[in-house]
Amino acid sequence: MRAIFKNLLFILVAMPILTLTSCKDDDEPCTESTWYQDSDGDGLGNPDVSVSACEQPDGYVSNDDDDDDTGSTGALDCTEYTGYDLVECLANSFLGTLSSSQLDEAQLTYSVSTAQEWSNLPVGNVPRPGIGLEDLSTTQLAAAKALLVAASGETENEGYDEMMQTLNADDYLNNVGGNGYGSGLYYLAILGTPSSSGTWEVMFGGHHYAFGNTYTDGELVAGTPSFRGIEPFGTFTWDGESNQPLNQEQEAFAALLQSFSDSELATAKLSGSWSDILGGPGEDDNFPSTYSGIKVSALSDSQKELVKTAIKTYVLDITDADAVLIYETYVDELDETYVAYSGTTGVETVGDYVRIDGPSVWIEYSVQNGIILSDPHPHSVWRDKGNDYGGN
Amino acid sequence: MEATKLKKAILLNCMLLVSSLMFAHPLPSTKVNLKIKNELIYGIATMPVHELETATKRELDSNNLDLSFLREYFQKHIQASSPNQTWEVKINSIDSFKEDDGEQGGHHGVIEFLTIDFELSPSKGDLTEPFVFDFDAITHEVVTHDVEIFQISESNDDLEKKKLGEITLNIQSGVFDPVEIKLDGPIQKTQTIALKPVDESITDPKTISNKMLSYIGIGTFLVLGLFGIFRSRKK
Repeated sequence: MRAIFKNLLFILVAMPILTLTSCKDDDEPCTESTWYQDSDGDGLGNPDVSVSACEQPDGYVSNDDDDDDTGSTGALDCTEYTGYDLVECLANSFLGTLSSSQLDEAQLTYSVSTAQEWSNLPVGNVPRPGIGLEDLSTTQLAAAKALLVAASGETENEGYDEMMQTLNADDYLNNVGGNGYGSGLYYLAILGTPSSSGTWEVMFGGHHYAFGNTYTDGELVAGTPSFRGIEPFGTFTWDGESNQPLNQEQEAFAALLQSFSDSELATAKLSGSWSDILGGPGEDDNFPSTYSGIKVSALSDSQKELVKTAIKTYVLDITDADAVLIYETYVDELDETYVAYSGTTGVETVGDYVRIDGPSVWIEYSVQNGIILSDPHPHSVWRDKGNDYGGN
Repeated sequence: MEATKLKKAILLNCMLLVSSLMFAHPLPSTKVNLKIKNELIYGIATMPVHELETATKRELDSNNLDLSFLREYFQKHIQASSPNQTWEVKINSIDSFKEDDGEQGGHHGVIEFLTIDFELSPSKGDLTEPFVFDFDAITHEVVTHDVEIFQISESNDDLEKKKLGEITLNIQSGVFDPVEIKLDGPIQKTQTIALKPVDESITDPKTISNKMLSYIGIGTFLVLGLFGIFRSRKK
């Protein structure tokens, strides 16, 4: 009787333990998540179609940001292309990752009036054409950046590198309380249809960057107008990385001006003070009718090299192969080009201004008051007289 | 009433400042508001202090403005001229303030402004004769600065603004083209009456009130009379 009672007690104690142990083995602890269907493969989920599961099911994503889960044809494989063909393929690839409603934002009819809608003001003041980077999925953002790399080139601290550092600066501003700034508030638009016939443009811009490559019949016909500014000025750290997007420009101008003798400086000096550039947004085809400053033909060979170095810091903001052709034109016209300045030769204090003005090239660099920060910040523009927007 | 007008004027100035910030980055243009009142043209010019410092080549301490210098400076740099009369400029007051446009959707932080309150008086009193307005307090030195000129008018209790012109660099020629200003005359109060009565005498307020009193008196008399008749019949 006593043994029976003991066995019974053992069974009563052991059974729950065994039961619990076996349950633990069969049902791994699992936190279910909601997954949203991504039938168009754009990386954005349909908020109306979802499942709960521990693991991500095929064809589903974790976000529900897709208002229109149709239309995307997916990214293209552009690995076999180079040069213009690569840009065209990547533009179509980017468009292919977008849903139909996103396409309506990102792809616009090509017109000069739309291309002229660039600005140096925050997007809260002047909205930009195109789709914001903040509205793109990881897949779409990768496609957008691949296109921008191909269109702007990979020279260190120029082109795409300079562009992304400028976006980092806006994130920096946002982090110190600058509302309305941030890398997500940059917009990419494809004006027209990327094709080897006809005209189309890659237009990218936000607060301190305006990029516009115009292509006609399979060739780049313009990389201008091209605006850039930077705040914070100089070197700053963002996300553990050092950024100095416009240092090369500032250093090139300072080296050029500081190579001038007193008499050369006197010739190059503009009358009056300059607190901004002349060729900003809305000032298309509006250049001085006469040259000011010192003619490059009057400079020594080493000084001419410094002028060329300064020009390169702008021209290299587009794909290198295209940059070479434009650069050669500017070099051919170098002796007819003028350098003018105002302020100091350091080109880093408020009121400092430099201009390179030739038959084709127009570059301005102006150091201005800080907006969010107390330190100065520069604005700069590269234009091509008669050929901005491809001469259209 | 005056307090209400003052509030409206301040609000209007704020609106003008915000709009200028939107279109002139990083520093706003000078705004000049002109208003005809009591046979004079009153002006209020608002400009960013930093641009003025660049133009004057001296630091301006907003807490301790050198008013004698500024008064003399603006006397030189605000001028009006027209073919048929000479114009006198009188600087009334100079003040400064700081504006943070962040609360109003802007992105530029705190900016310091200087305001100049002045009068323009034409020798023959013709306020509406077109005149060349030369306001070069900043633009004589800072070639990238602009001056926007507005007329402020009072209509009933509303303040209206109308852009009259802009002093801006002609990039091609490299000079500031002169800006001719043509002010609208003051709005007459009778113009605000939409319907003109046939009987001219009715426009006299005394006549209107006398007639109204007569109608009220007659009406009261009739009501009381009818009431008396009704009561006597009941008895």
